[in-house]
Amino acid sequence: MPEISKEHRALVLRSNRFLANTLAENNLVSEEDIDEANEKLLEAIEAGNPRQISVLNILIYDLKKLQEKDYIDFVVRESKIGLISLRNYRLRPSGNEMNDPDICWATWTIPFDRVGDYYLIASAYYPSRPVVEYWEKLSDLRIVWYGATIQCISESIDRIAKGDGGEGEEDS
Amino acid sequence: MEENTPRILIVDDDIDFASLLSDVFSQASYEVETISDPTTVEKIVKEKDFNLVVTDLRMPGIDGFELARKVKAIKPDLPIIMVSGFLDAKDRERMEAEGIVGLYEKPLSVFSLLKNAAKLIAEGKGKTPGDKSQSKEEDSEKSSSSNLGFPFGSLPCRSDASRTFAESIYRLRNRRPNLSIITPRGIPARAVAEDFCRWINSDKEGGRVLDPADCNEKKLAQIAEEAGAAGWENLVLCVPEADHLDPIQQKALAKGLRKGAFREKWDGHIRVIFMIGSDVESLYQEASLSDELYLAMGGSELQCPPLRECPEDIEFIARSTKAEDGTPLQWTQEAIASLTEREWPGNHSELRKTLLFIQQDYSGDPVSLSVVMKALSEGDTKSTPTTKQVEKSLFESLEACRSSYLQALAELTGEDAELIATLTKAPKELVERMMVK
Repeated sequence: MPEISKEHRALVLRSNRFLANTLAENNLVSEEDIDEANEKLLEAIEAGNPRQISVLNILIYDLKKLQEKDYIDFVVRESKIGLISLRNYRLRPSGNEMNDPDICWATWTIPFDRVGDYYLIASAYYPSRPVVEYWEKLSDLRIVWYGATIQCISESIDRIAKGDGGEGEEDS
Repeated sequence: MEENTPRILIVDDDIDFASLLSDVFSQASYEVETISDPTTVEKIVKEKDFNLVVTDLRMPGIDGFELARKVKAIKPDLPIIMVSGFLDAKDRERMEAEGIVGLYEKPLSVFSLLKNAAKLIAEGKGKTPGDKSQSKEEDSEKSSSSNLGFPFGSLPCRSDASRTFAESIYRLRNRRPNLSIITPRGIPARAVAEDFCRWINSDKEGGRVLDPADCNEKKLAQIAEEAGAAGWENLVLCVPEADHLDPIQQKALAKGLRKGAFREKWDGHIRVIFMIGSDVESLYQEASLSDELYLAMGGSELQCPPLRECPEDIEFIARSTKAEDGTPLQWTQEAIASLTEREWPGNHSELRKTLLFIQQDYSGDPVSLSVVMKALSEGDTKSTPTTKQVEKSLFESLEACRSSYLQALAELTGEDAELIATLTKAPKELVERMMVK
């Protein structure tokens, strides 16, 4: 497995730390759940598989301490952003460093289109402030944010990494 | 209503919603008073004793956070729950700092609200200065200088900034999540840690200040065992200068904090108060924090104000300084002004050092501006007892590093003191003594 660069490692930890704290502060999981998830997160970082490096993924699928539906409800309620499924969306990334799959994995976020003066970006980590700040700093345009599931982001990053934008029509 | 029926104050400009809340609490056998004008809250809180305040966030005149500050200024222990239809992430961040212990978004869960209210009242957080048993106890412990209503001796708290800081950490003393307190260089972090520990000692929970040498698996297990023997359910560990722990100590501390780390010795909850020199993110970026500790530190941070933001504290400390015969130093106004207007990058340590020079040369005449300037220039060049303290602190840090190194060697060699002594070229007796420590 590829080793995570120092820069990406810091971004991964910051993204996950903020997300975990947000989940605990909003009583979606307990502090003990976060402790356990953090331990597994560090193991996943050492193993180097980007798909496993997510405290959210660990809490939902590994430890089963959080229902993804509850998390999505929380994102919509607190962040007031729309949700998107990219399965049938023709991904049109902008072709610059914003499409570096490593950054996408580190933040569980993907820029999937550009419309006029806006990037459309989907994230499973929108409640994590460093994620939003990182992408806003990286972007030369304004961003329209969408919430998305872990599965959706994972599949979409794979598609972009393979150069497969998809043939489906746009949906939202 | 009986005399000891818990009393709840509801503050909401939405009369219909206030009436609904009033009905909910009345039916749960609470005595309820409702006000729709939030600007009158100070008067009613001064006049009457309540066990809980339930307030709206957005109201005309003052918002819920400002209202909380006013209430806390009068009765610091009175718990406040906020209910609002519009809450964003920033509101939640401010909640802790303002001492609000519950936040509910409309439409609210009545069951959850009642449960939380009952819990807060039962925990005795609803005690107010009008509660004679509490005020008697706290009066006896009250800091001689700050008049805060709770014991806090590490800062004079004559300035708004230091008072607000003291009140904020006092409010957070019973929370469960870890907390980081940012104490810039020269702030008496250890004294703040000791004050914090004094607040949480009770039959069911205890607190202690953790030294760098305590940050290893063996010592942490021993501390957990002691907590178990004391019958505590919660243990608060205050770690001064947590960002100065070496990587092995940081790793051991993070490992020890995990739930169940010492399950065979004690199964309670450990909360850590990290005293750090800068915010968590900056420290992590400059590699002062290990990944493990960074993840364990939680999301709550409080900033201890630098001395320059506390001019009244500076004046209080200066005027409290005594000459050799025990009488307070006399000061000219210019001299005091020169102290209060200074930046004090070294904070309290630097001020104490300056005052020590002034004290040593004190003639009995009021301290003038020129005496202060001379003391400040001497402070840049001479070694003082304060410098010795810094040197001692450095020595302690080096000792902690040695201890940590020996600990690692002990683990690698199966605690073979002779082998460690050979490897480190250190006397075997010293190695054995350090391993016992």
